[in-house]
Amino acid sequence: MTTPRAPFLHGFRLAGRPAGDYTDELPALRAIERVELDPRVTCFVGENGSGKSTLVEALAGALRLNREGGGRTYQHAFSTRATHSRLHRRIELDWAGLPPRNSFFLRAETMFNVATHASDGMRAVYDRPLHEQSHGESFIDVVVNRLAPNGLYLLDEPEAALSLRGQLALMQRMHDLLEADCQFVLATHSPVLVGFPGARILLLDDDGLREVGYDETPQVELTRAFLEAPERFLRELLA
Amino acid sequence: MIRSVELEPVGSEAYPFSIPAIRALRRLELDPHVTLLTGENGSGKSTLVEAIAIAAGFNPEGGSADMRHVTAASHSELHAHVRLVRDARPQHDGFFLRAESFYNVATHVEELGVSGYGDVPLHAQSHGESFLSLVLERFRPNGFYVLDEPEAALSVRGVLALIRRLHELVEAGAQFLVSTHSPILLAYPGARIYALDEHGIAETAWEDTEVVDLTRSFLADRHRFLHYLFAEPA
Repeated sequence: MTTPRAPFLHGFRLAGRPAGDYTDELPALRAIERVELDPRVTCFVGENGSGKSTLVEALAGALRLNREGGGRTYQHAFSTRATHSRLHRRIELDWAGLPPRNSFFLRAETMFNVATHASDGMRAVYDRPLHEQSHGESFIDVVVNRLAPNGLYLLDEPEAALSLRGQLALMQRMHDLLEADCQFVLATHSPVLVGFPGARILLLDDDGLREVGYDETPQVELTRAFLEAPERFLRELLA
Repeated sequence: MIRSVELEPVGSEAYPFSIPAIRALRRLELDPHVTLLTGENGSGKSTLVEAIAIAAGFNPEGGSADMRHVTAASHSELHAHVRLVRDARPQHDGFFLRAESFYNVATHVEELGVSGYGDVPLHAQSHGESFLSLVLERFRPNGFYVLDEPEAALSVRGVLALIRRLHELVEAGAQFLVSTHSPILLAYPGARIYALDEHGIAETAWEDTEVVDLTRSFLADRHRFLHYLFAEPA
Protein backbone atom coordinates (compact mmCIF):
# COMPACT_ATOMS: atom_id res chain seq x y z
CA MET A 1 0.00 0.00 0.00
CA THR A 2 1.27 3.44 -0.88
CA THR A 3 2.22 5.63 2.05
CA PRO A 4 0.40 8.96 2.07
CA ARG A 5 2.79 11.90 1.76
CA ALA A 6 2.53 15.44 3.06
CA PRO A 7 1.33 17.93 2.08
CA PHE A 8 -2.14 16.48 2.16
CA LEU A 9 -4.17 19.58 1.44
CA HIS A 10 -3.34 22.31 -1.06
CA GLY A 11 -6.19 24.35 0.33
CA PHE A 12 -9.93 24.74 0.15
CA ARG A 13 -12.67 26.84 -1.39
CA LEU A 14 -15.75 28.31 0.20
CA ALA A 15 -18.42 27.63 -2.36
CA GLY A 16 -22.09 26.88 -2.69
CA ARG A 17 -25.07 28.48 -1.04
CA PRO A 18 -24.87 30.65 2.05
CA ALA A 19 -24.65 28.61 5.23
CA GLY A 20 -27.76 30.29 6.62
CA ASP A 21 -26.13 31.16 9.93
CA TYR A 22 -23.85 33.79 11.49
CA THR A 23 -20.95 32.76 9.25
CA ASP A 24 -22.71 34.48 6.33
CA GLU A 25 -22.31 37.78 8.20
CA LEU A 26 -18.68 37.63 9.36
CA PRO A 27 -16.79 40.04 7.07
CA ALA A 28 -13.64 37.92 6.80
CA LEU A 29 -15.57 34.77 5.97
CA ARG A 30 -17.77 36.57 3.44
CA ALA A 31 -14.70 37.67 1.58
CA ILE A 32 -13.10 34.24 1.32
CA GLU A 33 -13.25 32.35 -1.94
CA ARG A 34 -10.16 30.23 -1.76
CA VAL A 35 -7.56 29.58 0.92
CA GLU A 36 -4.13 28.30 -0.06
CA LEU A 37 -2.62 26.31 2.77
CA ASP A 38 1.09 26.10 3.34
CA PRO A 39 2.47 22.61 2.69
CA ARG A 40 3.80 22.64 6.25
CA VAL A 41 2.27 25.17 8.66
CA THR A 42 -0.56 27.66 8.21
CA CYS A 43 -1.58 30.05 11.01
CA PHE A 44 -4.88 31.93 11.03
CA VAL A 45 -4.73 35.07 13.16
CA GLY A 46 -7.24 37.80 14.02
CA GLU A 47 -9.25 39.31 16.84
CA ASN A 48 -11.70 37.45 19.03
CA GLY A 49 -14.77 37.05 16.85
CA SER A 50 -13.00 37.48 13.50
CA GLY A 51 -13.96 33.95 12.46
CA LYS A 52 -10.61 32.19 12.59
CA SER A 53 -11.73 29.46 15.01
CA THR A 54 -14.98 29.07 13.10
CA LEU A 55 -12.97 28.56 9.92
CA VAL A 56 -10.68 25.93 11.46
CA GLU A 57 -13.67 24.14 12.98
CA ALA A 58 -15.41 24.14 9.60
CA LEU A 59 -12.30 22.69 8.01
CA ALA A 60 -12.40 19.95 10.67
CA GLY A 61 -16.04 19.34 9.77
CA ALA A 62 -15.21 19.10 6.08
CA LEU A 63 -12.48 16.58 6.96
CA ARG A 64 -15.11 14.63 8.93
CA LEU A 65 -13.20 15.08 12.17
CA ASN A 66 -15.07 15.35 15.44
CA ARG A 67 -15.72 19.06 15.70
CA GLU A 68 -15.71 18.86 19.46
CA GLY A 69 -12.05 18.03 19.08
CA GLY A 70 -10.14 15.43 21.02
CA GLY A 71 -9.98 11.70 20.42
CA ARG A 72 -12.04 8.80 21.64
CA THR A 73 -10.05 8.54 24.85
CA TYR A 74 -11.37 11.87 25.98
CA GLN A 75 -14.80 11.65 24.48
CA HIS A 76 -16.51 12.83 27.63
CA ALA A 77 -14.97 16.21 26.86
CA PHE A 78 -17.58 18.85 27.47
CA SER A 79 -19.02 20.91 24.71
CA THR A 80 -19.07 24.67 24.96
CA ARG A 81 -20.61 25.40 21.62
CA ALA A 82 -24.26 24.46 21.66
CA THR A 83 -24.31 24.47 17.90
CA HIS A 84 -21.68 24.25 15.24
CA SER A 85 -21.81 26.51 12.26
CA ARG A 86 -22.87 25.08 8.92
CA LEU A 87 -19.85 26.58 7.25
CA HIS A 88 -18.27 23.15 6.72
CA ARG A 89 -20.95 22.35 4.13
CA ARG A 90 -19.56 25.12 1.95
CA ILE A 91 -15.99 23.87 2.06
CA GLU A 92 -14.55 22.15 -1.00
CA LEU A 93 -11.25 20.50 -0.15
CA ASP A 94 -8.39 20.57 -2.60
CA TRP A 95 -6.47 17.37 -1.82
CA ALA A 96 -2.85 17.05 -2.87
CA GLY A 97 -2.93 13.25 -2.84
CA LEU A 98 -3.90 10.51 -0.44
CA PRO A 99 -5.44 11.52 2.88
CA PRO A 100 -3.14 11.19 5.92
CA ARG A 101 -3.10 8.15 8.20
CA ASN A 102 -3.78 10.38 11.21
CA SER A 103 -5.76 13.53 11.59
CA PHE A 104 -6.82 15.34 14.66
CA PHE A 105 -8.62 18.49 15.64
CA LEU A 106 -7.54 20.04 18.93
CA ARG A 107 -9.73 22.80 20.27
CA ALA A 108 -8.81 25.03 23.18
CA GLU A 109 -11.76 23.73 25.17
CA THR A 110 -10.67 20.18 24.60
CA MET A 111 -7.12 21.13 25.49
CA PHE A 112 -8.40 22.31 28.86
CA ASN A 113 -10.11 19.01 29.35
CA VAL A 114 -7.20 16.90 28.19
CA ALA A 115 -4.92 18.94 30.40
CA THR A 116 -7.20 18.73 33.41
CA HIS A 117 -7.81 15.02 33.04
CA ALA A 118 -4.17 14.42 32.38
CA SER A 119 -3.02 16.31 35.44
CA ASP A 120 -5.65 14.47 37.46
CA GLY A 121 -4.49 11.14 36.15
CA MET A 122 -0.91 12.23 36.59
CA ARG A 123 -1.34 12.81 40.29
CA ALA A 124 1.34 10.22 40.93
CA VAL A 125 3.78 12.33 38.96
CA TYR A 126 3.32 15.24 41.34
CA ASP A 127 4.22 13.02 44.25
CA ARG A 128 7.78 13.60 43.19
CA PRO A 129 9.40 17.03 43.01
CA LEU A 130 8.94 18.77 39.67
CA HIS A 131 12.65 18.75 38.85
CA GLU A 132 12.69 14.96 39.02
CA GLN A 133 10.09 14.68 36.32
CA SER A 134 11.18 14.00 32.79
CA HIS A 135 9.73 16.09 30.02
CA GLY A 136 7.76 13.06 28.92
CA GLU A 137 5.87 13.01 32.18
CA SER A 138 4.46 16.51 32.21
CA PHE A 139 0.92 16.87 31.03
CA ILE A 140 2.05 19.21 28.27
CA ASP A 141 3.46 16.14 26.63
CA VAL A 142 0.25 14.23 27.12
CA VAL A 143 -1.23 16.79 24.78
CA VAL A 144 1.78 17.14 22.52
CA ASN A 145 2.26 13.37 22.22
CA ARG A 146 -1.16 12.95 20.69
CA LEU A 147 0.44 14.18 17.49
CA ALA A 148 1.94 11.28 15.51
CA PRO A 149 3.78 10.96 12.17
CA ASN A 150 1.80 11.04 8.93
CA GLY A 151 -0.89 13.38 10.09
CA LEU A 152 -2.91 16.44 9.27
CA TYR A 153 -3.48 18.43 12.47
CA LEU A 154 -5.84 21.30 13.12
CA LEU A 155 -5.08 23.19 16.33
CA ASP A 156 -7.48 25.87 17.52
CA GLU A 157 -5.77 28.26 19.96
CA PRO A 158 -3.58 25.57 21.53
CA GLU A 159 -1.85 28.28 23.59
CA ALA A 160 -4.99 28.69 25.71
CA ALA A 161 -4.05 25.67 27.81
CA LEU A 162 -0.27 25.97 27.53
CA SER A 163 2.38 27.98 29.30
CA LEU A 164 5.04 29.58 27.14
CA ARG A 165 7.28 26.54 27.72
CA GLY A 166 4.35 24.37 26.72
CA GLN A 167 4.04 26.30 23.47
CA LEU A 168 7.75 25.85 22.83
CA ALA A 169 7.39 22.11 23.46
CA LEU A 170 4.55 22.04 20.94
CA MET A 171 6.71 23.85 18.36
CA GLN A 172 9.55 21.42 18.96
CA ARG A 173 7.16 18.51 18.38
CA MET A 174 5.79 20.17 15.24
CA HIS A 175 9.33 20.68 13.97
CA ASP A 176 10.11 16.96 14.43
CA LEU A 177 6.83 15.83 12.88
CA LEU A 178 7.30 17.98 9.81
CA GLU A 179 10.12 15.56 8.94
CA ALA A 180 7.60 12.72 9.17
CA ASP A 181 4.87 13.72 6.70
CA CYS A 182 2.77 16.10 8.72
CA GLN A 183 0.87 19.27 7.94
CA PHE A 184 -0.48 21.75 10.48
CA VAL A 185 -3.24 24.35 10.45
CA LEU A 186 -3.51 26.61 13.51
CA ALA A 187 -5.65 29.44 14.77
CA THR A 188 -3.68 31.41 17.34
CA HIS A 189 -3.37 34.59 19.41
CA SER A 190 0.15 33.69 20.48
CA PRO A 191 3.09 35.83 19.29
CA VAL A 192 5.25 32.73 19.74
CA LEU A 193 3.33 29.98 17.91
CA VAL A 194 2.71 32.28 14.94
CA GLY A 195 6.49 32.56 14.68
CA PHE A 196 6.93 28.99 13.47
CA PRO A 197 9.64 29.26 10.79
CA GLY A 198 8.19 29.52 7.31
CA ALA A 199 4.57 29.42 8.40
CA ARG A 200 2.01 31.03 6.11
CA ILE A 201 0.14 33.57 8.23
CA LEU A 202 -3.39 34.50 7.18
CA LEU A 203 -5.04 37.45 8.93
CA LEU A 204 -8.82 37.64 9.19
CA ASP A 205 -10.36 41.04 9.79
CA ASP A 206 -13.17 43.25 8.54
CA ASP A 207 -11.44 43.63 5.20
CA GLY A 208 -11.37 39.91 4.61
CA LEU A 209 -8.47 37.49 4.62
CA ARG A 210 -4.91 38.27 3.60
CA GLU A 211 -1.43 36.89 4.00
CA VAL A 212 0.79 38.89 6.37
CA GLY A 213 4.35 38.69 7.62
CA TYR A 214 5.18 37.69 11.19
CA ASP A 215 6.06 41.26 12.18
CA GLU A 216 2.72 42.56 10.92
CA THR A 217 0.52 40.25 12.96
CA PRO A 218 -1.53 42.05 15.61
CA GLN A 219 -0.17 39.85 18.40
CA VAL A 220 3.47 40.53 17.50
CA GLU A 221 3.02 44.27 16.88
CA LEU A 222 1.16 44.79 20.16
CA THR A 223 3.31 42.52 22.31
CA ARG A 224 6.49 44.11 20.97
CA ALA A 225 5.21 47.62 21.53
CA PHE A 226 4.16 46.65 25.02
CA LEU A 227 7.40 44.93 26.05
CA GLU A 228 9.52 47.77 24.68
CA ALA A 229 7.88 50.36 26.92
CA PRO A 230 5.36 48.82 29.31
CA GLU A 231 5.05 51.89 31.54
CA ARG A 232 4.31 54.22 28.66
CA PHE A 233 1.96 51.73 27.05
CA LEU A 234 0.01 51.26 30.28
CA ARG A 235 -0.11 55.00 30.96
CA GLU A 236 -1.79 55.56 27.62
CA LEU A 237 -4.05 52.53 27.99
CA LEU A 238 -5.29 53.57 31.41
CA ALA A 239 -5.48 57.30 30.77
CA MET B 1 -10.95 42.14 51.84
CA ILE B 2 -8.00 39.83 52.07
CA ARG B 3 -4.70 40.90 53.63
CA SER B 4 -2.97 37.55 53.55
CA VAL B 5 -3.41 33.85 53.13
CA GLU B 6 -2.03 31.40 55.67
CA LEU B 7 -1.43 27.75 55.05
CA GLU B 8 -1.19 25.52 58.07
CA PRO B 9 1.69 23.04 58.05
CA VAL B 10 0.60 19.68 56.74
CA GLY B 11 2.56 16.51 57.34
CA SER B 12 1.29 14.99 54.12
CA GLU B 13 3.59 14.57 51.15
CA ALA B 14 0.65 13.64 48.96
CA TYR B 15 -0.67 15.86 46.19
CA PRO B 16 -1.13 18.83 46.32
CA PHE B 17 1.45 19.13 49.13
CA SER B 18 3.94 17.41 46.86
CA ILE B 19 4.03 20.57 44.73
CA PRO B 20 7.08 22.54 45.91
CA ALA B 21 5.35 25.93 45.87
CA ILE B 22 2.47 24.60 47.95
CA ARG B 23 4.69 22.64 50.33
CA ALA B 24 6.88 25.68 50.96
CA LEU B 25 4.05 28.12 51.51
CA ARG B 26 3.14 29.31 54.99
CA ARG B 27 1.95 32.84 54.37
CA LEU B 28 1.10 34.76 51.22
CA GLU B 29 0.71 38.53 51.54
CA LEU B 30 -1.82 39.86 49.06
CA ASP B 31 -1.62 43.26 47.49
CA PRO B 32 -4.64 45.37 48.49
CA HIS B 33 -5.45 45.70 44.77
CA VAL B 34 -3.89 43.15 42.42
CA THR B 35 -1.84 40.03 43.17
CA LEU B 36 -0.56 37.94 40.27
CA LEU B 37 0.70 34.36 40.32
CA THR B 38 2.84 33.04 37.50
CA GLY B 39 4.52 29.71 36.84
CA GLU B 40 4.61 26.65 34.64
CA ASN B 41 1.70 24.30 34.10
CA GLY B 42 1.80 22.09 37.17
CA SER B 43 3.60 24.65 39.35
CA GLY B 44 0.57 24.89 41.61
CA LYS B 45 -0.72 28.37 40.78
CA SER B 46 -4.16 27.21 39.70
CA THR B 47 -4.37 24.82 42.65
CA LEU B 48 -3.53 27.67 44.97
CA VAL B 49 -5.98 30.22 43.57
CA GLU B 50 -8.71 27.61 43.63
CA ALA B 51 -8.07 26.76 47.27
CA ILE B 52 -8.11 30.47 48.16
CA ALA B 53 -11.34 30.96 46.20
CA ILE B 54 -12.99 28.08 48.02
CA ALA B 55 -11.69 29.33 51.38
CA ALA B 56 -13.18 32.73 50.52
CA GLY B 57 -16.52 31.00 50.22
CA PHE B 58 -16.87 31.14 46.46
CA ASN B 59 -18.56 28.36 44.66
CA PRO B 60 -16.03 26.78 42.31
CA GLU B 61 -19.04 26.06 40.16
CA GLY B 62 -18.85 29.67 39.02
CA GLY B 63 -17.29 27.93 36.06
CA SER B 64 -18.83 25.07 34.18
CA ALA B 65 -20.50 22.14 35.89
CA ASP B 66 -17.83 19.93 34.39
CA MET B 67 -15.19 21.75 36.41
CA ARG B 68 -16.56 20.45 39.66
CA HIS B 69 -16.37 16.85 38.65
CA VAL B 70 -12.88 17.25 37.23
CA THR B 71 -11.11 19.23 39.90
CA ALA B 72 -13.11 19.44 43.10
CA ALA B 73 -11.58 16.38 44.67
CA SER B 74 -8.02 17.60 44.26
CA HIS B 75 -8.66 20.98 45.82
CA SER B 76 -11.07 20.44 48.64
CA GLU B 77 -8.19 19.10 50.66
CA LEU B 78 -5.97 22.16 50.25
CA HIS B 79 -8.65 24.74 50.99
CA ALA B 80 -9.30 23.05 54.31
CA HIS B 81 -5.77 24.08 55.34
CA VAL B 82 -6.08 27.66 54.09
CA ARG B 83 -6.95 30.55 56.39
CA LEU B 84 -7.72 34.02 55.06
CA VAL B 85 -6.63 37.03 57.10
CA ARG B 86 -8.98 39.91 56.35
CA ASP B 87 -8.35 43.63 56.63
CA ALA B 88 -10.80 46.34 57.69
CA ARG B 89 -12.29 46.84 54.23
CA PRO B 90 -15.65 45.11 54.01
CA GLN B 91 -16.06 42.70 51.12
CA HIS B 92 -19.32 43.25 49.27
CA ASP B 93 -19.02 40.77 46.48
CA GLY B 94 -16.75 38.24 44.88
CA PHE B 95 -16.36 35.17 42.82
CA PHE B 96 -14.04 32.84 41.08
CA LEU B 97 -13.60 32.43 37.33
CA ARG B 98 -11.49 29.78 35.68
CA ALA B 99 -10.11 29.84 32.15
CA GLU B 100 -12.88 27.49 31.06
CA SER B 101 -15.56 29.90 32.10
CA PHE B 102 -13.84 32.74 30.29
CA TYR B 103 -13.50 30.51 27.30
CA ASN B 104 -17.15 29.53 27.30
CA VAL B 105 -18.28 33.12 27.31
CA ALA B 106 -15.78 34.17 24.67
CA THR B 107 -16.91 31.32 22.45
CA HIS B 108 -20.52 32.24 22.98
CA VAL B 109 -19.92 35.87 22.05
CA GLU B 110 -18.02 34.78 18.98
CA GLU B 111 -20.77 32.41 17.99
CA LEU B 112 -23.42 35.07 18.19
CA GLY B 113 -21.27 37.39 16.15
CA VAL B 114 -22.07 39.92 18.85
CA SER B 115 -19.88 43.00 18.83
CA GLY B 116 -21.18 44.71 21.92
CA TYR B 117 -23.00 44.03 25.13
CA GLY B 118 -25.08 45.76 27.73
CA ASP B 119 -25.72 49.46 27.46
CA VAL B 120 -22.78 50.12 25.20
CA PRO B 121 -23.72 50.52 21.55
CA LEU B 122 -22.88 47.44 19.53
CA HIS B 123 -20.31 49.18 17.36
CA ALA B 124 -18.48 50.82 20.26
CA GLN B 125 -16.76 47.75 21.65
CA SER B 126 -14.30 45.30 20.20
CA HIS B 127 -15.09 41.63 20.50
CA GLY B 128 -12.50 41.30 23.23
CA GLU B 129 -14.13 44.09 25.16
CA SER B 130 -17.66 42.81 24.64
CA PHE B 131 -16.56 39.44 25.91
CA LEU B 132 -14.99 41.06 28.94
CA SER B 133 -18.08 43.14 29.59
CA LEU B 134 -20.06 39.96 29.55
CA VAL B 135 -17.72 38.30 32.02
CA LEU B 136 -16.96 41.29 34.19
CA GLU B 137 -20.30 43.09 34.26
CA ARG B 138 -21.10 41.09 37.38
CA PHE B 139 -18.09 42.56 39.16
CA ARG B 140 -18.81 45.24 41.73
CA PRO B 141 -16.73 47.78 43.57
CA ASN B 142 -15.35 46.44 46.84
CA GLY B 143 -15.45 42.87 45.59
CA PHE B 144 -12.74 40.22 45.89
CA TYR B 145 -12.25 38.35 42.62
CA VAL B 146 -10.16 35.32 41.82
CA LEU B 147 -9.34 34.77 38.14
CA ASP B 148 -7.51 31.70 36.87
CA GLU B 149 -5.72 32.38 33.55
CA PRO B 150 -8.24 34.90 32.25
CA GLU B 151 -6.09 35.53 29.16
CA ALA B 152 -6.71 32.03 27.82
CA ALA B 153 -9.41 32.98 25.33
CA LEU B 154 -8.18 36.48 24.58
CA SER B 155 -6.29 38.18 21.81
CA VAL B 156 -3.59 40.62 22.94
CA ARG B 157 -6.14 43.39 22.39
CA GLY B 158 -8.50 41.48 24.66
CA VAL B 159 -5.85 41.28 27.38
CA LEU B 160 -5.39 45.05 27.14
CA ALA B 161 -9.15 45.49 27.50
CA LEU B 162 -9.05 43.23 30.55
CA ILE B 163 -6.34 45.41 32.12
CA ARG B 164 -8.47 48.48 31.50
CA ARG B 165 -11.50 46.86 33.15
CA LEU B 166 -9.43 45.66 36.12
CA HIS B 167 -8.13 49.18 36.54
CA GLU B 168 -11.66 50.63 36.67
CA LEU B 169 -12.69 48.11 39.29
CA VAL B 170 -9.52 48.58 41.34
CA GLU B 171 -10.17 52.33 41.37
CA ALA B 172 -13.58 51.44 42.78
CA GLY B 173 -12.09 49.37 45.59
CA ALA B 174 -12.04 45.86 44.11
CA GLN B 175 -9.29 43.36 44.90
CA PHE B 176 -8.02 40.73 42.45
CA LEU B 177 -6.03 37.54 42.74
CA VAL B 178 -5.07 36.35 39.26
CA SER B 179 -3.06 33.43 37.93
CA THR B 180 -1.64 34.15 34.49
CA HIS B 181 0.79 33.18 31.73
CA SER B 182 0.47 36.57 30.05
CA PRO B 183 3.56 38.84 30.12
CA ILE B 184 1.21 41.77 29.47
CA LEU B 185 -1.26 41.08 32.25
CA LEU B 186 1.71 40.51 34.59
CA ALA B 187 2.70 44.13 34.01
CA TYR B 188 -0.39 45.47 35.77
CA PRO B 189 0.87 48.69 37.42
CA GLY B 190 1.83 48.20 41.04
CA ALA B 191 0.74 44.58 41.21
CA ARG B 192 2.47 42.14 43.55
CA ILE B 193 3.85 39.23 41.52
CA TYR B 194 4.64 35.77 42.88
CA ALA B 195 6.51 33.21 40.80
CA LEU B 196 5.92 29.53 41.51
CA ASP B 197 8.54 27.00 40.49
CA GLU B 198 10.34 23.86 41.63
CA HIS B 199 12.04 25.86 44.40
CA GLY B 200 8.82 27.15 45.88
CA ILE B 201 7.08 30.49 45.70
CA ALA B 202 8.74 33.92 45.75
CA GLU B 203 7.86 37.52 45.10
CA THR B 204 9.45 38.74 41.92
CA ALA B 205 9.73 41.77 39.67
CA TRP B 206 7.97 41.82 36.30
CA GLU B 207 11.16 41.94 34.25
CA ASP B 208 12.54 38.96 36.19
CA THR B 209 9.66 36.62 35.36
CA GLU B 210 10.54 33.82 33.02
CA VAL B 211 7.62 34.47 30.68
CA VAL B 212 8.72 38.08 30.10
CA ASP B 213 12.31 37.01 29.57
CA LEU B 214 11.42 34.23 27.13
CA THR B 215 8.89 36.32 25.21
CA ARG B 216 11.42 39.15 24.83
CA SER B 217 14.13 36.80 23.59
CA PHE B 218 11.72 35.19 21.17
CA LEU B 219 10.48 38.49 19.74
CA ALA B 220 14.00 39.87 19.47
CA ASP B 221 15.27 37.03 17.28
CA ARG B 222 12.89 34.13 16.91
CA HIS B 223 15.01 32.33 14.31
CA ARG B 224 17.98 32.21 16.63
CA PHE B 225 15.74 31.22 19.55
CA LEU B 226 14.12 28.41 17.56
CA HIS B 227 17.43 27.29 16.11
CA TYR B 228 18.55 26.42 19.64
CA LEU B 229 15.17 25.04 20.63
CA PHE B 230 15.01 22.69 17.64
CA ALA B 231 18.56 21.51 18.29
CA GLU B 232 17.56 20.31 21.76
CA PRO B 233 16.36 16.76 22.15
CA ALA B 234 12.59 16.73 22.58
